[in-house]
Amino acid sequence: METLFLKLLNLSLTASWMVLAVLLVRLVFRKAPRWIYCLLWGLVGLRLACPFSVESAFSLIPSAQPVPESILMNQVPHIQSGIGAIDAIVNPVLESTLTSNPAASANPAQVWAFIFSVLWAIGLVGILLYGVGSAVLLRYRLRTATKLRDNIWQSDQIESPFVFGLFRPRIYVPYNIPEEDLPYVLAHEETHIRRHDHWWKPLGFVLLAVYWFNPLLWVSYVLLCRDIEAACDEKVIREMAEDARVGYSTALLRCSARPAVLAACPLAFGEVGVKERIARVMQYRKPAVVLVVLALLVTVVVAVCLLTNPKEPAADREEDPRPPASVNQENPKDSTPGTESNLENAAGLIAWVVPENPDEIWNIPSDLTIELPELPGFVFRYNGVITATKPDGTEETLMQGMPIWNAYFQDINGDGIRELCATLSIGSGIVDDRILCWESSTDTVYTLEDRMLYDYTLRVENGVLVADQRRFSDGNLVATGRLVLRDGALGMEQTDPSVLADILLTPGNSFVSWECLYLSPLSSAIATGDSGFRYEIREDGFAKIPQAGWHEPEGAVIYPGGEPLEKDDAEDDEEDGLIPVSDWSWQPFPWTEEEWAELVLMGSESISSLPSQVQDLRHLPLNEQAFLLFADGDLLLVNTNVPSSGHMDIWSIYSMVYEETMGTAVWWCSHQATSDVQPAFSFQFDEGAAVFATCNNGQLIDYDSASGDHEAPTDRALDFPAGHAVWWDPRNADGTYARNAAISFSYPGKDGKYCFGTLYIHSDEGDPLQEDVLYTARVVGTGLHIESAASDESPHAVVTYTPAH
Amino acid sequence: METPKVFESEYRFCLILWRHEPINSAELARLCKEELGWSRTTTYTVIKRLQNRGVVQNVNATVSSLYSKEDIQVAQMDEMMEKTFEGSVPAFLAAFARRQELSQEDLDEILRILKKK
Repeated sequence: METLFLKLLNLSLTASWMVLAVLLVRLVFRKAPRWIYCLLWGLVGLRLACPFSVESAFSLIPSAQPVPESILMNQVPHIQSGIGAIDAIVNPVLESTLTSNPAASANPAQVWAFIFSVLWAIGLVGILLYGVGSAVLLRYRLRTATKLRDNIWQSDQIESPFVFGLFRPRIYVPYNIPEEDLPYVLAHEETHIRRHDHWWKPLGFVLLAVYWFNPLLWVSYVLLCRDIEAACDEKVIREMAEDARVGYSTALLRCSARPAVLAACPLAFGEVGVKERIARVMQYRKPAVVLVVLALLVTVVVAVCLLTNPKEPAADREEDPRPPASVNQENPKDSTPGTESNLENAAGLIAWVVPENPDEIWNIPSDLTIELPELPGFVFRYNGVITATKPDGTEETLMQGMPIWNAYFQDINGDGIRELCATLSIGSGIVDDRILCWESSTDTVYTLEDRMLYDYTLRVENGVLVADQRRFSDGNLVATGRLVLRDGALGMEQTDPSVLADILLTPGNSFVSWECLYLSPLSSAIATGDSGFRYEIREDGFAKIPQAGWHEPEGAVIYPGGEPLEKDDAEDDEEDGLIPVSDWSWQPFPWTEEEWAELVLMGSESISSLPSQVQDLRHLPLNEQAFLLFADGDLLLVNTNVPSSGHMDIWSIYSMVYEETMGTAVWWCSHQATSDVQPAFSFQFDEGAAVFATCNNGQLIDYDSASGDHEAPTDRALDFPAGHAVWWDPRNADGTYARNAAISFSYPGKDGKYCFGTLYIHSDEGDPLQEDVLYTARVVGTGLHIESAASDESPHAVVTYTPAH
Repeated sequence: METPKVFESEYRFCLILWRHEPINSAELARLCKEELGWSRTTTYTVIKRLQNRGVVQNVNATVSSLYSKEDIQVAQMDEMMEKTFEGSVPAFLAAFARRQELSQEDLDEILRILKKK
């Protein structure tokens, strides 16, 4: 029943367009003979009564199926009215109210469809019962009518004359009708019978009963009743002498009973609209032939344009005067409603494989083929995987995934040939989304992915392919940008840094320091990229959390040259924890360039002239001792020092990166040692650089994997020769296991500069003496990144350094 | 006793009855079918209805009236007088006289009726 109801809803909505057209025609052709109006109403009835419709290229109906039946099945319901503005308003409402909750057993759209269809059925039965009931009642009351002659009967039960009966229609007149009116009245009613109005009106009523939920059709029915009477009047007086009109009008007037309620309307002829009818009768002139022909033409146009459904989009495309690509698409539906179109636009975008519903990425029509004009001889085929048949006839699989979500063609490297770009999900258990791009000139597939860290998905915005980067752990959007293929790498181009500014402040984001841009000359610390903290954006504030292992256990952190590194005193003095923030919104940068230069006394050129170098500079105060800056897409944390004089100094400025971008390495620490170096874990720095490292917990082992030689740990600071891996053993000399450790290291990077960094190791759960325990290592330091190695062989993790540009 | 109300259709029926009474109800139904186009059941329904109102009686399938044609006409006239002419005889006569030419005989008859009252 829900399906039937949806079908009727769609028919009714498409017929509404027709009703509007008829209303418009009635308004424009006010002088047209009324039988043409009746003809138009007949077309509306035809539209309502026919469950299917011919397709035509001339159709003006915006959408044949504004409410798709799939609304019952889809997780996120959508309508396709064919009018963008309506969809844009309705769909968000539908989404918010009808989106199914996977935990609930039934889809709310289904529940509502059921409720509405039950209501509809009740209404239908009620109205039909009313119609049939009033007819039966009338028939009962007319039993005592007495025969005047032929099919003309008199009754004391009625107020005005009418025709009643479907198959043997009788004319009923009241007894007290004046004798001189009778000929006119009978002429009118006999004309009704000849026009078969005693069929059309009940038919209209039945349709009204079916489509009772559409108020436009109630209007239509009332107007239909009027037009039928007017058309009948016209027919009578056309066949009547001019001087008889006064008599006819008088009869009309005398017969006008109480205003006919709709109740009387169904099957009998309550006289309606008497005033207008008399006016029309008196003014009646045979309509000009031109007007009749014109009105008839309009009727034909209405019939062709509105009785037919729009042709399928595929067919539309064939008629596009500038076909850039011959698209053989079997998906008959419009593409994702409200977001993108299957049609290509000026930017050369072709949306090829597009799921009907973005939430049903499996629901993609299969076996699509497409050819591009700029790549003659290539045939691309989508059938779960995307293959290309090349000009030489060979077929090659370009992309496979599970599944391929969508696929577009757009020129993203500027060579004038469109690249094939698609979003794929890869993996089982841990599924990540990535973007693939096939470039025809190199026949290479490029990938934008960061497994376990970020998901990348494609979408279209203003006709341009845009990639969304989301954090794997919580799905938070971290960046969005135009997809570009440049220098043999697939990447994102930040289009709007202002979007990024707000994305950075999404609660749940966590950052670590990346580079120390400024450190007060009063500080005794060395400016490394590591502030020793991780930072979290929370709903209620900015959390500053000491890195596990940084503060404890006590132990000097020693850098090359043996100088003890003192930690940043200012930061030690600060209270750790949450800085309450009530308003996470950026403010204008409050200082002039001169004032700023004063604040960063003895800072580098790039820092002291920050306001002039950066286009988009914003300020967000945290508390008296810290604020955030947004500088053209970069997030900076500024710590200040307020001496007793009250004059603020800037103590340090750190640039921040998402914690995840630094990478992680994890390993299971086995509690059953099977070799000398187990359960130690090995790190390699770049391609085996010589490293100086110290740790504050656990022990470091220099293990030459080539010879198997290793020294027993003597110190927590070790020089590792080139080619040796840095092994860290969680076991302390006293047999306890370190749960937290910080390994500080330095080594010469590829650019010849020493790079400094810290490996933070921690393990939260489990007893290492009893069971295997999971350890996680993160790295913090400018230009550094850590990744678990692919194999179980040593080294277990690789730290890489990328010099700044 | 007040003369009961008789509707127009019922009056047409009564006209037949007065002409033929007392009459067998089946015969009456046949006549009504012929002259009024009524079905048998309709005729029986009307007999029953008028019987309840005390206009006719039906004894052993023989129908006869309890009021004369004149009684009913007078009652109907009274009702019309009351409704249309607010009970004023002169107003009625004026309207009646304007509508159709009255012969001397008609006038005499009217005067006779009025005097009898």
